[in-house]
Order: sequence, then structure tokens, then C-alpha cells
Amino acid sequence: MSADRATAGTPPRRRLSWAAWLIAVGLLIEVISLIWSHPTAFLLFLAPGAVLVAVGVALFLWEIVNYRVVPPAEATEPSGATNAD
Amino acid sequence: MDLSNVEWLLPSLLVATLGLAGLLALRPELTRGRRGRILAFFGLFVLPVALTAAGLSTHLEHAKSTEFCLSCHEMEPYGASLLLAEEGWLPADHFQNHRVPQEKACYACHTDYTMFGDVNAKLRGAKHLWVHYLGDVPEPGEIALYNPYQNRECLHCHGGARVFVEGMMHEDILAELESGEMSCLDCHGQVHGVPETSEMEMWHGAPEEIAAASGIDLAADAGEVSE
Repeated sequence: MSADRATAGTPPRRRLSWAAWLIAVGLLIEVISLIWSHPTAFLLFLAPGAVLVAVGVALFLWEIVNYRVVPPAEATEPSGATNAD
Repeated sequence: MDLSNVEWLLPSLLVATLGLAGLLALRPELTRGRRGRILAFFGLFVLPVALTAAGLSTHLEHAKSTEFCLSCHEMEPYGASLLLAEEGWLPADHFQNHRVPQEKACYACHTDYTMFGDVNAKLRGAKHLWVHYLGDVPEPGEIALYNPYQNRECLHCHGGARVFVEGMMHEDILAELESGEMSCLDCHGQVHGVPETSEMEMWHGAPEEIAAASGIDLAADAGEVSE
């Protein structure tokens, strides 16, 4: 619970949002490729589908590794870039 | 649990994960709390990785199907050669008498039965796609194997079988066949026979989906015969 309080003022993360979009688009392509039994569908699944998912997951992991806990006081400062995202 | 056998499950899970990823894309502030971060860990890491692996496995399994191979029009005459009514054609005899699984007929004979045979088959498939879209596609009769057909592929099923080992013809030449000194096709060389076989009579008991994928209308052919 203390971790929740410490990050309560953390701004929404732009990189995480990008990762989620990439994964969502990649998964959409994968779903479409799975309902079509053709060599081109296999190619579509690998690239761009799986490639987008892989890039999105890598971006998400990067975001986790570089995650910084912002103290609530700093996060609520009006001049900070806290809620820019 | 083999996800590839439950056809509806994988697309459903993918759509659910897609929804979760979409939600996190639109509302990244959900990850401020512990529950949101756990949700993100599953929605943006565990599920996408697991489902992509399952999807890859499903695609690789689809790639073994006869219909998959025949979905490129270049292969239609080769598919038709599986349905020849006349006896003595090696692929047709194997296909029609269930000596190979009908749903994996091409793969059963044209994969390499080696450690990396599947991988090599997929790489050759990727090369075929490249040629299909960007290269010069050879005429049906000019499509050839990259390497001479190996006895290994025949012996994968026939080797050790009593009817084969004790067969009158095979008993004396078994060593030559196993060493590759003599090819199975030296005696059983009547294979696809494309394009000559395209004009021959077809077997009307053929599975409709294979006939359709081979560009053959069995109903129309039956009509012609009855006339």
C-alpha cells in the first residue's frame, strides 16, 4: 500500500501508452491473420503482427526498468511536467 | 493444453487481450495503482507473449495442411495430380489410399525427416512466397525440387514395415535403398506428371475441399462423364 501512495501522483506514462498501442495493433493483425489460411497470412502474422507486439513488449519492459517513483509533492507541482501526458 | 486444437479459443483470447491493451493505451493512468500495474503486466507482457507464441504454433500447424499448400494457384496442377483416377501414379496412390494423411499430404512427403527438417521446409516456403510476389514464377511443368528426392523421406514410413522389407522386389536391394545408392524413384518414378496429368480423368471420391483447392469442379466433371 505504501508503494501505491508513493506513486499516486505519478503522471500517466507516454511510453506505456505507446507500448499499449503497438501491442493492440500487433494483436489485431495477428487475429486477422489467424482467420485466413494462406501463406500470406503467415507472413502478415510474423511481420508486422509479431514484430509490433515484440516492439511494444520491449517498450513496456523498458518503461518498467526505468520507472521512477515520483514523490506526491513533486508530482502535484503546477510548473512540473507531471501531468503533461 | 494445445491451444491450436481449440480454434475459437485463441482468437477469443487475442481479442480480449487486444481490448485490455486498448484500454491501457487510452487510459495509461490506470497503472498508477498496484492493481493497474498488475493488469498492465499481464495485458502488455504475459498475455501478448503467450498468445503470440500460441498463434505462431497455430500458423505452423496450418502450414502443414494440404489446402494451405494448394492455396497458391501455382500448386493447383500438383493438387490435381493427387486426384488422378488412373492407378500407378505415386502421389495419387498414396493420397487416395490413405498412405499419407489426406489433410497433410504435401507435407508428409515434402518435409525433410531430419532434426531441422521443419525449419528448412518453412524457409523454403518463405522463398516460395518471395518468388510468388516478387520473382518469376516458373510454368507448372518447370517447378522442380531444390535437391533430388531422398529415399529417407520414403523410408520414414516404409522402412521396417513388413510388407516392404519382406517384399519380393525390395528384399534384394534393401542395402542400396538405405544407402541411397539406388533411388526409390528409379522404379516408382511416375510422380506428379504435371502438366500432362491436368487433362486426365479425376477420382470422383476425392474430398471436395481438396478438389476445389486444386481447381477441379468434381460436379461438372461428373456431368461430363455421364453425358
